[in-house]
Amino acid sequence: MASSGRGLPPVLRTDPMERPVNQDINSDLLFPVVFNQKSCKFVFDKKGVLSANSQLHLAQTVSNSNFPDVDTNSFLPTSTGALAMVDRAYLTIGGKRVSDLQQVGHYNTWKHLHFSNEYRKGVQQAKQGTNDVFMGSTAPTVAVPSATAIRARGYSAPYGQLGREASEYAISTTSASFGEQSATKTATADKAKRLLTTDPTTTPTFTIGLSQLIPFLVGVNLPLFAIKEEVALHIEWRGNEYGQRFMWNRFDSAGNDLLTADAYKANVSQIVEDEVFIMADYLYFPSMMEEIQDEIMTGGGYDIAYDDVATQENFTTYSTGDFVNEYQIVMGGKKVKRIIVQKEEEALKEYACPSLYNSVELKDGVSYQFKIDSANVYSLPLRNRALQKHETDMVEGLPLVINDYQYTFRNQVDATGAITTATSGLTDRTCNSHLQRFEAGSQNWIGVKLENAIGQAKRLSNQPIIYTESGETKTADDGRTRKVRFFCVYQKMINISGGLAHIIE
Amino acid sequence: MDTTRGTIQVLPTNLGNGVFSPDRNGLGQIIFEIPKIPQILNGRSLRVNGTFKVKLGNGADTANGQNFCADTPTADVYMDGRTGVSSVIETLSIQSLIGSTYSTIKNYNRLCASLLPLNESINSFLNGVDTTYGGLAKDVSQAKKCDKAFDFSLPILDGFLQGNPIDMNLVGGLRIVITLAPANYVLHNNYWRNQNSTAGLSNGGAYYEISDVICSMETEIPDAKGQEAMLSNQNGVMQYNTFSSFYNVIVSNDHNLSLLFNTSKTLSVIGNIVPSEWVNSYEYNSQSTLQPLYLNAGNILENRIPVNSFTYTKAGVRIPLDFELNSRDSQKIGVSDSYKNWEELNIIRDTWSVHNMIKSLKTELSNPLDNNTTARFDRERYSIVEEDKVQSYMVGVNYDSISEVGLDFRGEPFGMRIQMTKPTGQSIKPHSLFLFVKHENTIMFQNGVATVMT
Repeated sequence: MASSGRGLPPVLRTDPMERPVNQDINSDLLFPVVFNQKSCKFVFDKKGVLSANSQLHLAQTVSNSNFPDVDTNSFLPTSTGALAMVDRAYLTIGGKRVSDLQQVGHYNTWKHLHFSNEYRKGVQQAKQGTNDVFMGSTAPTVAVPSATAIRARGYSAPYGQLGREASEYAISTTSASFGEQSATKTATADKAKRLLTTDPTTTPTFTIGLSQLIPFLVGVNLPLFAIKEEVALHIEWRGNEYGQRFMWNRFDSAGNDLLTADAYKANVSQIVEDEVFIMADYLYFPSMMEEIQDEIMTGGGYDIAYDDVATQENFTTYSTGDFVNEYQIVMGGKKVKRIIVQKEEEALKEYACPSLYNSVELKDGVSYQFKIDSANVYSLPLRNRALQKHETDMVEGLPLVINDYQYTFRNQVDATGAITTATSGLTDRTCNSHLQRFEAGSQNWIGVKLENAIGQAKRLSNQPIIYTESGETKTADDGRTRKVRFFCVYQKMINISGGLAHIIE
Repeated sequence: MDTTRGTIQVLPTNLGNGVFSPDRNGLGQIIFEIPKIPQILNGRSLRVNGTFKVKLGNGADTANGQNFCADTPTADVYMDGRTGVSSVIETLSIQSLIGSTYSTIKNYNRLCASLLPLNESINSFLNGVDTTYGGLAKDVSQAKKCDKAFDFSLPILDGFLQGNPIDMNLVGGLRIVITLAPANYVLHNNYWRNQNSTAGLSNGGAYYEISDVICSMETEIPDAKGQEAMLSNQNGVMQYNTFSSFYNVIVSNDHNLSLLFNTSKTLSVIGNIVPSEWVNSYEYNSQSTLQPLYLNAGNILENRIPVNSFTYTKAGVRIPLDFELNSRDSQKIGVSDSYKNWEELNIIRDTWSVHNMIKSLKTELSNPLDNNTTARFDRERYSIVEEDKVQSYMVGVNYDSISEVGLDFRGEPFGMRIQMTKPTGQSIKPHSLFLFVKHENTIMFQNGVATVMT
């Protein structure tokens, strides 16, 4: 790899070390130069240093032609939030595609699952409309007063399940001595102000960090002032039907049952043009701007090592019985840091809160192995689900913050792979009208870390990576399908010099 | 030196038929031998993986999900949720393949009973830690999990592994010996809440099985030149923190103990208390960490014995606290014991950096003061969404949280005094006091021979 530039100075990195005290920040609203219901394009001003923490502001409405002007109570996929609205985002400098993230919603679901419960509840829920913090819960059914019911806080078996926060405590209506619960309060829903409406003036707005859209901006503040070429962010919206940008609710605000005659399928989203803009923060370092400009314009410029994400998709249908599936991942010659495997089951958009943004395990799980350059990564294929999660936790260096019941069906199914109200670890209480039990095993992401302890990627030969899954398809999974998607995070290098950007590798 | 990431998986050397169940097939130890190779082990990535299953005495599955809250439950047996599968490790020993012992922690499960609740919150237990430790920190949820087999992936909470990367060639490979606790230690009924819960005692007693055991870890593999250099190196020094275990029984309301640790760099002492009759009992949770209790009107250890003060000494001098940790007033009126809690949270790390823990007013004020007073947080009706109303009561003191050099206890005994108020007409039932001394060890490697210095 030929390079002549220098490493980035501290002010062009996102870590807050070594910033001059006279830093100045200027915040502007940047509106798209092109907008339609398929895509939009922003062109950044040539000024200052673009903060990677700048935010894309956006909103959508959802309406149903069967019940015009009635709010559908649609909501954002619960582990994805507003990122479900974006299908693809890419950054161009002088027309050259510097960083390109496809399947923005899916990749950011993976990222989101690493956030702490506190961050999700305090920040993500409000900012991006997610709703996936699980805690102790109960069955939805109110028990007949008895000594057992008293011990069970008024609810029937099964005991000890998990679910989202609901109204576990209600005022007794029948007995002075027994705190009976109200069955109508056992369901939970997104906060009212997070539900999508039909009216552009009342529908909630959300914000997305630019670094969530563009992996290049993770760790880099872009020196716009010193780049001669056009710097543009292109966004392609996700499809406008149910399950894509939004998830449907069975009951609209007028109480209509949208499950009747599949009326929910008539829900359609529209991006609100007036609400699409970037809240751009431009940083200024008066004492250093000249130095940076000199380095870029007359020196060797700056070399920026960054991660980009390559996406590959396969499709599999499972039939009862033993199987071995092999997938080839083509990353020849690239310096790969990590590989993330998602197994999206499209059917969840019909009945589960995370919608398409899932990675559903087979009921009996799988054993898997990666083969790289003709060598197995593991001496034995990984079968133990906890070990699979641990290996996956190593990928980002942070654990997936999801409970065992969301990660795997292990511990929840019978010998045929069936999961019932009694065996599920997640409650039958509904969230936004959908059973939370349907989220069991729905975030079974798999990953392998290839970088070494100091973050250096592994350069692969031209041989494809072989990912092998084997196991037994139980009756409950017969005929079910998965989109097996691979996100390969690999290292790239760009040099910004002479006001121009050159991708070195 | 260029390195690449490697992974190692090791099966137990005493695998037998693949199932470890000390109470039924006598396989009470799990031994892993990790080879001496020129690679660098990331000890924090080391996991003991397996599948855990609870069985009733007759071999049938438990049915906690349907019975846990029943007034007259059947088939309800479960395990401690705050430590999960860590509760099965009675003794942990880390040795080299050539005979040196680097660390041995007796009552490792009791150590975990102190460490985990101070490191994880109820949110983290319910969202991820449950997969790692197999623990959900809530009895009702933990009980449900025990109805079917589940997988676990346990880290080993010993400073030897949790500290610096390990030169696997220099340390001479590793042998990890895990001695399993008996089933009546690990499993228990819900008897404390409901005296009708007795299923664990039937048919010879409930038992557990651990299967599909494998030890996995991540290594850094140096390039050929680096491996050559590692193979030729026979000398070095390695420093790490570890725990030494001590056991004592409290039988009076003015308990004094004197122990000779003989550790040169002593960082802290952490411990916990449990009624002695609860240990190895199917009726009670042997992993409980409670303040001393006395019998209530139903003859159950339930009411708390007011603990007035703790005093810590070194060679007879009050060190590091030159005062008694006095809880007399707060214990007497049954309010938060903030003074003691402050010191307690400082035992293993600086309080300001504690952001995950189980401890709350709910846990700490969950024991009645006497038969006429209900606990402020009554555990009879379980907490649906949050942490259980069961104490997370630790004892101990930190000697050095700033420089991590610690105090020298060689030849100078550690002293501890616990003063309590004996309730009128009550006796002090024996309570087991488990103490763990956190100290720094140094290993000198000279010509391939390891000398461990404490």
